[in-house]
Amino acid sequence: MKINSVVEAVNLEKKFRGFELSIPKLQIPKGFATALIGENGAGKTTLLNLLTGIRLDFKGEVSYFDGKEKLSGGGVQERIGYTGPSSFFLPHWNAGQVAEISELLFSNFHRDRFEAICEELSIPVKERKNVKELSDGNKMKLMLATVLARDTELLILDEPASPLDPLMRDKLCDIIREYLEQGNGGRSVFFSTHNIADMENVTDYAIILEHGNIVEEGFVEDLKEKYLLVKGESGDAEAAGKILFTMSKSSYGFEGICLADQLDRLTGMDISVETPTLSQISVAVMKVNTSLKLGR
Amino acid sequence: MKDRVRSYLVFATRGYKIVMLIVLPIFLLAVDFIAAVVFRGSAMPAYIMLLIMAEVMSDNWYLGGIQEKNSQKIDYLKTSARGRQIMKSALIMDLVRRLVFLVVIAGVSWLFTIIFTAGEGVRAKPGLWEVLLVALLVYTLSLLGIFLCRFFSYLWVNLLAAYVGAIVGVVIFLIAAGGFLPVLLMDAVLGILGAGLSVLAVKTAMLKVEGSYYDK
Repeated sequence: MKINSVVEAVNLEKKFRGFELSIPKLQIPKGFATALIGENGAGKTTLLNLLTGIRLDFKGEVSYFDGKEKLSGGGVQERIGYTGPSSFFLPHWNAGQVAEISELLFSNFHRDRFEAICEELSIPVKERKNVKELSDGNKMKLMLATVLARDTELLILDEPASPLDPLMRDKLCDIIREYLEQGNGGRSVFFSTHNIADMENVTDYAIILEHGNIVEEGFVEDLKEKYLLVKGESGDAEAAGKILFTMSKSSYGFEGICLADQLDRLTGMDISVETPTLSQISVAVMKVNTSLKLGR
Repeated sequence: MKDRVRSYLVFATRGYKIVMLIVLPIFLLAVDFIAAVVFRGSAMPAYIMLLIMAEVMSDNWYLGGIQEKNSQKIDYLKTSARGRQIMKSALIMDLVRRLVFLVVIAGVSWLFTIIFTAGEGVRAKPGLWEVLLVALLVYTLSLLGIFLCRFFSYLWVNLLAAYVGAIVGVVIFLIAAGGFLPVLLMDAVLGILGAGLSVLAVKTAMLKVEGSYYDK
C-alpha cells in the first residue's frame, strides 16, 4: 500500500546549546494520526517548531502535502493548525481577543465555530478571563478551539494531552478521530505525547525520538507484530534476559519486550507471549536508547 | 486600514483601551476646559507631565517586554504567514494613535484657550507652533521612555522612565515658554528626534520578532 506523506523532511538538522536534532528522513503519513513519543529533551518540541515555521534556523528540506508545498510560500501555515506550549498566547488576552487575532492571522478561521467549540469544551469565555488566569487545561482547550475553528488539513499538537484531565483526554481522542474522519483521508494529525496509554486508541502511526534521532517508527499494528510481550518464570529470567529487548523482574517471574524475530531463541522456556501495548513498546525502545541510568 | 486598527487593538488590554482611549482624553479635555473657562489659562504644563507618564506607564499593558531577551510572547503570531505584518501594523498604529491623540489634545487645548480666555489680564496666548511643540515634546519623550522600557517587562522600569520623562518634559517646556530657544527650532529638533525614534522603535521590535525565528 502506497502511503502519501503530509510532511516529508530530508536531512533535517538543528543544533542548539549542545543539543542536536538529526533526522535523515521523516515521513508523516497522510490521513492518519501520528504520535511523536520521546523522553523529556528528546527534541519533540524542537521538531514541531521546525515543521510549523516557529523556528527557521535549521538545515534540511521540508515539504508538505504530498511534497508539493514549501513553508516559504505562506499558504502552508494556513493549512496547518498548531497548538504549542502554555506561553502560546499573550497572557493578557481573553478568549475574545484570541478569536480576534485568529481572524486576523487566518482567513479560514470561523468565529461562530470557535464560540461553539468553546461552549462544547466548557472554556470560561463569558467570564472574560485572561489567558494567564486560565488553568493549564483550559489554556490547552482554548488552543484546541482556535485550531478546530479553522479549515485545516493538518493538526500539529505539542503535548495536547498533558494538561488535560482524563475525561478531556478521552474527548481529545474523539476530537482527533472526528477530525480525521471528516477529512476522508485528506486530513492528518501529528501530536507529541507522554501520555501514550491515553492516546493509544487514536494513534495510527508512532515515531519514537531519542536524543534528537528517530529510533523507531511505524504503524502501530506493525510495531505490535515486530515486538512481543513475553512473561515467564523467574527461573528462566537470566537466560531470557540475554534475548529480550528489555526486561523487568519480580519475585513471581519476569516480563519483557522481545523482538518477534528473536522469539525462537526462547524455545524451551516456560513463557507466555502477548501483544504489547504501544506504551509498553515505547517504554522498551526508550529504555534501550535513553541516557538515564536505569539499571536495565 | 481596518485590519491595521484591529491589529493595534488586539494587543491592548481592556484596561489600556478604557484608560488610554476613553478616560484619559475625556479627563484631559475636561481639565483644559476648566482651566480655560474658570482660570482663564492653559493647563499645558500639568498635562505634559500627565501625558508622558500615562503613555510610558500604559505601554506596560500593551507591548511591555516585547524587546526583552528570551521573550516568547508571540509564538501564536509565528504560526501564520501574516504574523509579522500584524505585529508591524500594531507597532505603527500605536505610534499613529499616540501622535494623533497628542495633536488633537494639544489642538483642542489651544482652541479652548483662544475661545475662552479673551479679554484683559490674559497672558500671551500660545500659537500653533507652541501647540505643536507640546505635542512633539510629549510624543518624543514618551516614545523614548517606551522604547527603553520595552526591553524589560517590569512595571517599575516604566514608572521610573515615566517620572524622568515627565520632569524632562516640563523642563524643556519651561525653556520654550521662557523664550530661551526659538520655538520653531525646538519644533524641528523634536520632529526629527520623534521621527527617528519612531523608525527605531518599529525596527527594533521587528528585529526582535525576526530574531525569535532564529537562535539570536
